[in-house]
Amino acid sequence: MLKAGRRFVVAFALVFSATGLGFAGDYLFLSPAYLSATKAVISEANERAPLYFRDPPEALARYDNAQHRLYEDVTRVQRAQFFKKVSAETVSEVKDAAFADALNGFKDAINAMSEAADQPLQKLLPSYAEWSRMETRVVKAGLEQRLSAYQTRFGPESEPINVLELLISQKWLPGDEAGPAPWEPILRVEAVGITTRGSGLTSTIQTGMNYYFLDGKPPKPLQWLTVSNHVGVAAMLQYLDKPGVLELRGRPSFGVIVHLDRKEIGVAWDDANDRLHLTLGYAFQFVPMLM
Amino acid sequence: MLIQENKTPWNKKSVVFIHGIGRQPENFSVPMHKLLREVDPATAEATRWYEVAYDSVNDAMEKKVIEFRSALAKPDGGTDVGGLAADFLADLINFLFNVDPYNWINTITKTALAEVVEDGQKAGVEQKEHEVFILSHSLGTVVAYETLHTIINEPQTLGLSSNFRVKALFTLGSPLAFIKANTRRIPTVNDNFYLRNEAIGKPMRNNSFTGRMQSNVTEWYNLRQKIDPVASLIPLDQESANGSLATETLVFDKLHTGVNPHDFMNYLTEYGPMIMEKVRA
Repeated sequence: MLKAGRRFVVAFALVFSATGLGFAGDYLFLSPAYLSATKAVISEANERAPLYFRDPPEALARYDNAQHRLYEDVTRVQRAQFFKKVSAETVSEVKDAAFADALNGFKDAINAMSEAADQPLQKLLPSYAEWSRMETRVVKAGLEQRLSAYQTRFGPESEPINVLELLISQKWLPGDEAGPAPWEPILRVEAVGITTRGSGLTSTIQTGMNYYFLDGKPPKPLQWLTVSNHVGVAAMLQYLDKPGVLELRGRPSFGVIVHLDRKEIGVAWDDANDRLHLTLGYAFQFVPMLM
Repeated sequence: MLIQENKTPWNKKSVVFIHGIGRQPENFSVPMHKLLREVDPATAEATRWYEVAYDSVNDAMEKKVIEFRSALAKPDGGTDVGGLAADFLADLINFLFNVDPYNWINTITKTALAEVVEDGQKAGVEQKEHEVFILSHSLGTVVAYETLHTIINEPQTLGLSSNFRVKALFTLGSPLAFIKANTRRIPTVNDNFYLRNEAIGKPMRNNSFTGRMQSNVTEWYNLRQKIDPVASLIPLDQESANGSLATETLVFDKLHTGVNPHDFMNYLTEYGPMIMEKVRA
């Protein structure tokens, strides 16, 4: 039990450290095709730069620095894709401040080139128009993925939460610019559940965590269990001497409850009778905002 | 979301409506577009019209925290003052207090702006030549303000380096100055709120190649009805906006559309000709 508790604390700490990164607007959408198209534009810009960055003399050096930084970053990510077999999906959204800075720097440089040449970029650099279109397509698809993640986390398939759970999740487990966090605390009194003991109805106090499948793809075994939105696990406290709705008195019984989407199944140890009891539930609010 | 495509050859201009508090379902801006079209049909028909509708966020959050809320609401279907007040509060809390709804609403706005850019690119128009106008109202002015600050440094598509600019930002019935003045009194768990963290102003970015400071908003016009409580308790003007407005706030006192001075249509009825003049220019 102690070991399990320690694991839970470690998992909790990991979640905290992962979500504590904050956001700085450095998210990129980097599909392999976009990276190749970026190199094509860099190559075209390199050919024309000496023509338009003559004055002042250091302008060409500044351009060269900007294109070099971006080229290196594109190559680095392409190499990572090649060697680590990173899939297109996982590189579609990357938090990389240096790369973002390099891309901004290169774009500033080619905008200056366009001004110096007195020509729009799509005339000056033949690949620019397609590069921009591809970038917008990739960005838009990424934004739509994010919207879908919000729908998973907060839409009708997600669990209703009380004000305390909302506060905890927004204060300590919030998402960031790239989307919501997959973790959501469970800290509630669930008013109605079905138990194999006594009257058949019981209330449970739960504390644990839900994990949402923000990409909309739970692992196969969970799909077989008809899970499509989230899973969770929580420590459970029940009072099974005379079980009933909000009958939170008597000898406490402890157990574990698993959330499969909004369906719940758990077991609690009934100390008095020295046996396990099954609990079934469905996450809904008995009292709006509270439980 | 596109609400009206250009009917005559496209003038490379797009107008985006961003609504404020209250029930604003998809197509909320159709009557607003109609009103502006009556002012200047030729310009309106050559322009593309979009809207940002983010009420789905408020609905989802409300349902998640107050499940079965409909069971508590009055069943008569008439004007429910309590319900309106609850909506008002829920919308405010969602955007001003929480982190995820703030980011969610910004993502919806960004997606709409990316659609504006994409449509321009499909028509072969480079973003530098594409003139984008934003007509924002009430809390929508805060949404527009935050999103424009969020995107200015983005390296892709909506950043200033990708030449995304708003030619004119119109803020109608805006609580920006009120929220700024009450930053300490309005609780929040969101540490990344530009209006709270920085002085009111246009988003600015340092061009890394030229070293010049640039904004993604060319001109910012603020419009206020004299007795509009949202905009007039602490009015936004050149002083509170730190000189960022293109002209001093334009103030009017008429009630064109009923007793609600804060009504989006009231503002558009008064300033429709001025707005269309800017779009036409």
